[in-house]
Amino acid sequence: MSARHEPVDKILASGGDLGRIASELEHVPQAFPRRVNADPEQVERGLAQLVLTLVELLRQLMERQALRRMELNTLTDDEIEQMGETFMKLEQRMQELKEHFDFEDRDLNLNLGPLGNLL
Amino acid sequence: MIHLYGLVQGLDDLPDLRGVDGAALERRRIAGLDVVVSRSTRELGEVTHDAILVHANVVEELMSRSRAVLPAQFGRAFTSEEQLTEAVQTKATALERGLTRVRGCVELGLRVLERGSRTDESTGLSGSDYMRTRLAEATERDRFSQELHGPLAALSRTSTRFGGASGDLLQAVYLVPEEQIEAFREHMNRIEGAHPELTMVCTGPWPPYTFADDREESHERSA
Repeated sequence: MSARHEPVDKILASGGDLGRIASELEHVPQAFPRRVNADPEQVERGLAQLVLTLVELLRQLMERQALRRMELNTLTDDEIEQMGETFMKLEQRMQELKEHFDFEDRDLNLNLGPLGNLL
Repeated sequence: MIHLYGLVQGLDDLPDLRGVDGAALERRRIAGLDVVVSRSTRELGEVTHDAILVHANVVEELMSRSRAVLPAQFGRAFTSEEQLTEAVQTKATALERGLTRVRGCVELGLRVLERGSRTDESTGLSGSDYMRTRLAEATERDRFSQELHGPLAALSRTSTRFGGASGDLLQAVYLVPEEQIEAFREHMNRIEGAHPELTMVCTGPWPPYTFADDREESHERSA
């Protein structure tokens, strides 16, 4: 092993559509602390990005918790139906808002440290 | 400012490289441990890609010349020799344990993306159907992820899984004894052959950054 490896030297094995992974590298600068763009023209979009990211984080956390409770059989059929409808509507609404602000999933991504990325 | 690259065992000579800000590499012996640093007259410099790569290159070169390296993450800097000495002395036992943990091993990283099987079309589903579909997908994802991870973890001294919150099927790092790297690569090739539908990339060998901290209890121990 020597220093100054070319990136390809560090790929031990790979397969499939590597473009899916490579395209994320364009967003590497987002690993640095996120800031709201204060440009008046952009501030609404920047705030929307921040808010939607947090909403998506909470939505996913709540859904995972609900699935876990389903697995443990601690939810009644009515509760499952009610939660399912809520999560479905929330997901659909999020989709509409992403389209409205022209965001892709990766625009709402967050690095959660040891938990990995949000999306 | 003193920039720390890592702790080493069995290093004969320092590599012929300049450190961050072009500073010469130096070696210190503190509490029986060999520490590699460089000194800079500047305050902690700006975090740039170049500075990070310089740090990474130094650590990689140390890895190739030593029996064991406990790499420091970029930006671990101290304002004085006393501060560095105190930091190492305070953690000497844990650092020694860390060197033992990583000796003869490298870090390999693996990322496997979802197969895209998630049912995005939820229109017309009842709430219960939606939840059951999501649960079935999550259960299958966990089962398949473990099927991929288990044999690789068995080839490793220890491993850590990430990605509990992400859409990745599996994101993990493995501390692999050097003599097992080829077996690890062969197993990866078998996975690739058996699952051409998966997008995956396995990278390394890297210095054991993930396993440098004394969090052994949080890693999954294997071989």
